Amino acid sequence: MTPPLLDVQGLVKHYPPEGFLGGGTVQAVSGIDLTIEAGQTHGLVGESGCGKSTVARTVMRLEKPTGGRALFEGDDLFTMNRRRMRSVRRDMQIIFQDPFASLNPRMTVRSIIEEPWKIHGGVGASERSDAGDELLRKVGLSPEHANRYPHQFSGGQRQRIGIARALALNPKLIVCDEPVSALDVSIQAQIVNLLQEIQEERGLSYLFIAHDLAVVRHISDVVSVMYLGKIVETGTRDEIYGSPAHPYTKALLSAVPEPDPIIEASRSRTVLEGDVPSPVDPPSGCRFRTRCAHATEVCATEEPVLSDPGVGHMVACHHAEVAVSL
Amino acid sequence: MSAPLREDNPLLTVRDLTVRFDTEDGIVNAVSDLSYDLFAGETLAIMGESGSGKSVSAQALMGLVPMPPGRIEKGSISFVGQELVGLEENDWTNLRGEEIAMIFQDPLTSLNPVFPVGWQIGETFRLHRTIGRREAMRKAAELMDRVGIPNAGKRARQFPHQFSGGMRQRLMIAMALALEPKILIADEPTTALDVTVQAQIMDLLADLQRDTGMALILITHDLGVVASVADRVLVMYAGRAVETGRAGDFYARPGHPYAQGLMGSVPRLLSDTDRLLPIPGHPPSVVQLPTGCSFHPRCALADDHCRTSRPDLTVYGDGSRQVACFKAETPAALRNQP
Amino acid sequence: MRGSTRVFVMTELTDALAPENAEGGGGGRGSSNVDLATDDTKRTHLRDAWRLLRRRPIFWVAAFLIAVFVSMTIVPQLFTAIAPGEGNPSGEFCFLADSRQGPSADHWFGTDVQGCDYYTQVTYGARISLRVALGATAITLTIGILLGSLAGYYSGFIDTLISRLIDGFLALPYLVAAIIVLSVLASNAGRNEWHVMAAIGALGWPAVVRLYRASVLQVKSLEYVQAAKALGASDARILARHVLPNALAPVLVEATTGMGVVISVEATLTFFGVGLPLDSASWGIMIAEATGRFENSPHLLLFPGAYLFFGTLGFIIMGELLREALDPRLR
Repeated sequence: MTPPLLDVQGLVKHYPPEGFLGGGTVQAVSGIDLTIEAGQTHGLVGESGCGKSTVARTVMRLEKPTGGRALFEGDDLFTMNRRRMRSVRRDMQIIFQDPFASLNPRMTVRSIIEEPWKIHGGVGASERSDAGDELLRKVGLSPEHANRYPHQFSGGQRQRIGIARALALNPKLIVCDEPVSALDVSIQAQIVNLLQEIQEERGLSYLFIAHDLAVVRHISDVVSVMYLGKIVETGTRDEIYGSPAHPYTKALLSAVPEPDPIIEASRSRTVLEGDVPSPVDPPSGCRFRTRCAHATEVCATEEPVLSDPGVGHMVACHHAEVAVSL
Repeated sequence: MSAPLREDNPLLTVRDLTVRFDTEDGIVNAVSDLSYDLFAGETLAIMGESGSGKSVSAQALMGLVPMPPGRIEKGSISFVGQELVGLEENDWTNLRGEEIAMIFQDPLTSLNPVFPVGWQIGETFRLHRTIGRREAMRKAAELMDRVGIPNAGKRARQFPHQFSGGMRQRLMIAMALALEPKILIADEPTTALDVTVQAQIMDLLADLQRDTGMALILITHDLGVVASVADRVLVMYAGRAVETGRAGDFYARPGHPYAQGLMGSVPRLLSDTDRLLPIPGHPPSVVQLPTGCSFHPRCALADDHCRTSRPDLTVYGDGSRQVACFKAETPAALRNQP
Repeated sequence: MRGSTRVFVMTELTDALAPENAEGGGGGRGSSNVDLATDDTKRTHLRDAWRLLRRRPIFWVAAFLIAVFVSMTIVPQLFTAIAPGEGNPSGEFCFLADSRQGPSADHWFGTDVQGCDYYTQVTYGARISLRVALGATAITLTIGILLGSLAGYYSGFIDTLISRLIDGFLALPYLVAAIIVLSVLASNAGRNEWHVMAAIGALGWPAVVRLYRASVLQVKSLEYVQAAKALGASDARILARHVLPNALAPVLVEATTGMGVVISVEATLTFFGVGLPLDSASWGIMIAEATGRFENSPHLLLFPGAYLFFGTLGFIIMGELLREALDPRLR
């Protein structure tokens, strides 16, 4: 049995207290497991502060993890030497949220797209130029504009350039960190479609990180829900959206308004009380208990572990039960 | 939330509102020929993406359009008989807060970090009514309680940075509603908030609306939020209204190709969408609008007529629906409806 | 609420108008599926800055001063028909008999102690000043950018080390340190331009390091730097290709002002006898020699003094203007 493309085990990332008056250690990610198979899209959802972006950066080794392993095709990314890491980087790329900050304003689009080949070598100048043009066409841009600078393009176009850059080395996995959140609604759909097209063509995998549940539902095969540094529920797309078992997942789903007034009028909503606790001082036991209507004593003393209590997929809750969501 | 529409006098009447900005890059036609009515107790959603002019149109309602570079070239805004275009600043300060109030997307910049929140909310009372400081503080705490801030009495003495994003938004709402205005304008109030907090805030607004009977103008780009609260919808594109109508009708049968495109391009939670159908191209540059119908470069139905002449809002159906499109109700257009 | 409302509205408006932020593009032709790029409005920060600058009269004044200064260096022939060579007037135009005369039709600035045309002397003095200034600035920039990169990009121990070093240097009184260094470096006779350049350059780097380090800190967290890292780019490549072009601007601004400062500093050091050697045509020398004779021949002091003043002023004003024009845009 082939190992999954990416197998994250017990990932931990804590930030030490900053500066003079510090605060405390920010427990951004506190032990998560995640697997992605080849050709699969794993959606990671959660609200702000849940640590999903930190997961993206740590898995890409843009930040040093505090603990855990990340096996890429069987090899641990966190213990690789520099040389091996460099070659693995060809297989793993990332797309960022902010289309304005993700491109070097002083480089032409052509240089931006060709840089991956310049870094890794093996592609001659004219070959690069042709391949670059091809990439631009692939993402829906015209090669004539390759000599322009990023600021001359709209947000959606810049995001396409970022995607082209990520595709240059033919990666097996692309981590998408909120790739459409900063775009207008009508443009979001263009980018989502483009990502799906590319996936179909090249058979690559996505770790798709977002807070927009509808977009995640549309593009993901498998979904994990994060809360305050932990994964509280994980399963196939239909399991999570169709039969969510964790109270947080249910609340999340019920909070998303549907673009249909008839459905909206007949929905019953569970509105969560209170605010997300600080990641510096998370609640004991189950981190969600401070906002959970079903919390009991055991929730404060014992931290629930991701397991299947008979609902068909993994949940971290002492009182998990399936509800049909609407 | 769904208040019955009244046929009597509208609270607010906007006619042919046109706002332009003089910039170094040229004249920006932010809002052009915008007209609509607003009735007491109803929720009107003004929808659009960036560059649509929705925010500027709201700012005009509060006299907040910066007048150099901006200018209201023509049009009228009539609030209970009073003309707001050309109003003196003095009269505006009496109107704002008292009759019309506004909350913004980013609560952080609307709250002064060096003053306790209770003091800031109380300021509204002290400015418009003659009451003492302690009384103002007490009323502020009451308001904070009303908008769902726990421990209001104690927290009134705290500072903005001690509140979370959702709480700050509640504070803004408290400030805005202190004097029970007749109209509340909410400019993307939940865009910067998490979805669970968004739900809390929208619920709160609905509650308050029921209690006070105020009208709500909700400015947003989120089709879901609109579906859950709006009585009527007005869609803006490139500074113009391209469709207006009752919310239910709008979602069932969007008439304008842009609106149809939006509906088709939004992924849904509760129904299956095979492939998203995005609108090709991108919103037009605010300085250089296309000729004729501003939407034609992105419209599959466009023909020469569309490229040269601009369609006006035309009434369809029983009079509550208006669409600015030459092709509305043609077979091709009707096919695009959900 | 009123005041802050206004501020917020302005920000929103600027955001809506800036083509960078709106989803706007140029009027797309036709309905092709290919997303066309925007039209040619090259709205860069530099263009905006230029537009702002060219409207201000003071900018043109400073530009003029600098232009004059630089052309005096490159083509002194434009300014004086007499070509005395490297600061040493040829005998032809020096008549001892004419020594220390005031300004006249023949000699616009009068003559110096040896009877040589003072105008020529002063004009050629610009050369040395600019050379030393450029050299010192280049040294400062190189050291500053290198150390600033290390401190800003790697943080941790290196950063602490360099920062403490900066603190140490800042504790030294600049001029005193320069004087000491130069006296130690070489005796009066053995000193040359290079010594002076090195001394001034080596002492000026703390300011640059601080500035560049701050710039680097800001830039390194931007996504395009992260993207380069993710592509497998080496640190050197990232620092040179991605960080440097984007972090350089504040430093260049500082360097412009710095040029003016260096010109003055060099003149001061030379005046005190620890700068350029006595036989060079530096303004500092001229001023030093002129102070004793001020009562009788004030022109000997006034002219080089004036040139020094205006030369320095031009650079400093330009530096300030550039800072104003570029800085807010960088945020």
